Amino acid sequence: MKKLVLKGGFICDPANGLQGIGDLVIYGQKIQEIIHKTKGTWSDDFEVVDAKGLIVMPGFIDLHTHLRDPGFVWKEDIKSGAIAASRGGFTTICAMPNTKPPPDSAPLVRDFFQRVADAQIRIFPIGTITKNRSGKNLSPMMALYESGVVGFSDDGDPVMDPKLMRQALLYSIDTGLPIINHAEDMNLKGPGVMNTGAVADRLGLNGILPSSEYLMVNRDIELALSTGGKIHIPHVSTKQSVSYIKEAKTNGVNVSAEVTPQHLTMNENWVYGLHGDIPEHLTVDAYETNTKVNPPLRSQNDVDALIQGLNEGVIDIVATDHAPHSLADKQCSFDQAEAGINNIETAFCQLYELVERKKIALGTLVSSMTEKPAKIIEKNFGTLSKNSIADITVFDPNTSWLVHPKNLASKSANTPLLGQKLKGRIVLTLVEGKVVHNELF
Amino acid sequence: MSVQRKLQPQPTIRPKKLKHLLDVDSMSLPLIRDLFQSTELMKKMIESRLDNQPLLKGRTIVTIFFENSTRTRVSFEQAGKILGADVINLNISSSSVSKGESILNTVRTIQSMGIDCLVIRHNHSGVPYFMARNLDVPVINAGDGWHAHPTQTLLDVFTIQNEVGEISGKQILIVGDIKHSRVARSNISTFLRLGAKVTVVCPRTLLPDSWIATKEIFQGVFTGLKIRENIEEELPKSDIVMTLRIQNERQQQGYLPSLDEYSRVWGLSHDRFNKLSPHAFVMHPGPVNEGIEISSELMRNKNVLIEKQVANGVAVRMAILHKFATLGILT
Repeated sequence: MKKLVLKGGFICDPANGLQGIGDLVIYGQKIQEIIHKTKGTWSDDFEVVDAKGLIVMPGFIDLHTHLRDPGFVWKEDIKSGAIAASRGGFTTICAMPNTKPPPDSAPLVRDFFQRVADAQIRIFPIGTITKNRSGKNLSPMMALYESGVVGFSDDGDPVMDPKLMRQALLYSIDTGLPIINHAEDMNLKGPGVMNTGAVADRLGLNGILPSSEYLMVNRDIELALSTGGKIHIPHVSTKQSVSYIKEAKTNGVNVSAEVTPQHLTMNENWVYGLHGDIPEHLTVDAYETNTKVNPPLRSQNDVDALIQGLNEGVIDIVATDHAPHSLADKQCSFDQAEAGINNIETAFCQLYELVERKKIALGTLVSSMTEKPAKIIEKNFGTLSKNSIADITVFDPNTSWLVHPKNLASKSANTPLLGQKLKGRIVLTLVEGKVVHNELF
Repeated sequence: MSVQRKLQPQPTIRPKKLKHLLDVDSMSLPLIRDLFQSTELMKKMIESRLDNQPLLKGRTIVTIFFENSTRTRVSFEQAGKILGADVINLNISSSSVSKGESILNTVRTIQSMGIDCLVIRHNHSGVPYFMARNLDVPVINAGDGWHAHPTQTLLDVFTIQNEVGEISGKQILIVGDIKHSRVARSNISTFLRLGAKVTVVCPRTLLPDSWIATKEIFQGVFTGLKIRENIEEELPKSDIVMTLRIQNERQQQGYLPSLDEYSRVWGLSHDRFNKLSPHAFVMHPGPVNEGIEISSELMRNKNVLIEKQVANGVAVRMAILHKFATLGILT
């Protein structure tokens, strides 16, 4: 059995309340133990890797990844998505079902499991709420549950009909799985392409009202309260949504919520194409389509409320909403461009900057990417507990790398960070004790 | 990558050399003055056609209009031809450009045929910026979505300077569909920058979202703009009233109950015209919905400058093409 020691790293395991220098010992597929402080020498049957100056964490778990497979495989596929995820430090991801065909039946879910069997990280399917994601009829949730989906979503599209949403909540209770509704009132949204406000007005772009999100968040919370159903609110982007969620939790609603790396670190000024600077006059970088995303980048007030929400636990987890799009999808007008940001490889680096700026504690961040998402999908991952599966990721906060298509494993490169030197890098990722990404030894 | 950058307080620095004409905000005041001097010369050239030196002989100008327009397109074409340029006009309905044939590829193909300047109009804001970022030739914005119409703004300012007087200090009232108007945005920011006082009056549904709950703008490129509700109160104070076109579709889209109601409450009727000071002028970028924005009998009034705007439009565009199609480096 292979024996590996990650020696002298800063171990962060919020599930066990652990933060400090130590050695992490792995036997085969499992974590053997953590030795506090660090042991001097190890016998020859151990492979010892120097982790001094690095941060050692449980592998990240993403509840919201778009793999585009099947149906849109020129943007990303299972293989490239898995490699990209491992380079972002993710050992488990959940694939959103806006594929073609969407997994809205048991055979399709079984097929999915076959297709991800060889992937280098763990991938779970999220089933659809409605047949074909059309928002009209419920999908066979019991069959999907029995086949192994970890949640239900029509993501990309909302369930517009409140009655249907209520029925979905009621029907799904026996599965114990969350309904993950993409909260966006399409009527209020209209042809909007970026957040409503002074930036949209200056650029002459159609605005997306914050109320198009928070009114539906409120609706879903009320429906969950009255039915006893379980909801998980994806990609929260507005201050008012955070308020509603906070109140809902006080009232005992079975609700959890997620926020993306972009909504925590970028505001609507990024559409000017100058990484958040507001120009006196527009440059040719304006109308940066890599900042077009659903829900849109919002105001700084919203960003601050989201950071506070994560700190307070009102927002439970970070989920990437990794949304790869090809160059053709983004090299066009802002109105024409597809919405979505490619971020699974840059996510932790972006968020670590918030830790360095003391906006969020390392433990809170890591918890939101490991033990908490694991709890929501009721899987036994996300910790460095003794005898737990050795899903581990190691981060070097002191190196930096250029965000450039040649440095991204994803098939696509639609990130607003292109051209930026990003501080920090995931240097090692293990899934079940097996090395899947290695720049360390 | 920073979440909390603020607008650095720094003096306005506009580039001395401009390759593209994307908006008026990026043009320095000396640039604008220089362009207007050139426009005066161009006006004379329009009158003395046969004696002209063909300043753009051997140059190819391509106009690509993804959104229909007769006036602006013909104005550019005329401007180019008076200067002796070869002008090629393309009307490409944006709906007929399929995903497989992106607008960028279409334009790149044309660029490879050896052209000196591209004039582009598109119904999506930002397209000329996207083009300028990805092409080598100078790009002139002939109107992008709701965002900007720099050549219209320049000819409006030129017309004001010539017919009304120095624009600085003038009280300008703009009435119409501000939300969807690139002329409004371009004109408001430029008039304010040149020292004019600007007020808008229109139905609240036709205001940009961030202006709805406020009476004045205090930040950004529209700083100083006043938003008012009662057109009758604003008319006597105004030196210039600029009315904008109301599109028929706004009624279907729920912005207005009817064009009839718009005309009754916000249209420049004869009665309202009489409330203006005798020294006030009326402008409209065209095309005019007679009877809706302006009553028909006013169209030939001597204080209504619409035809002068059109005439100046050719001269301004001649000056612009001359500057930009010759490798566009303005000093």
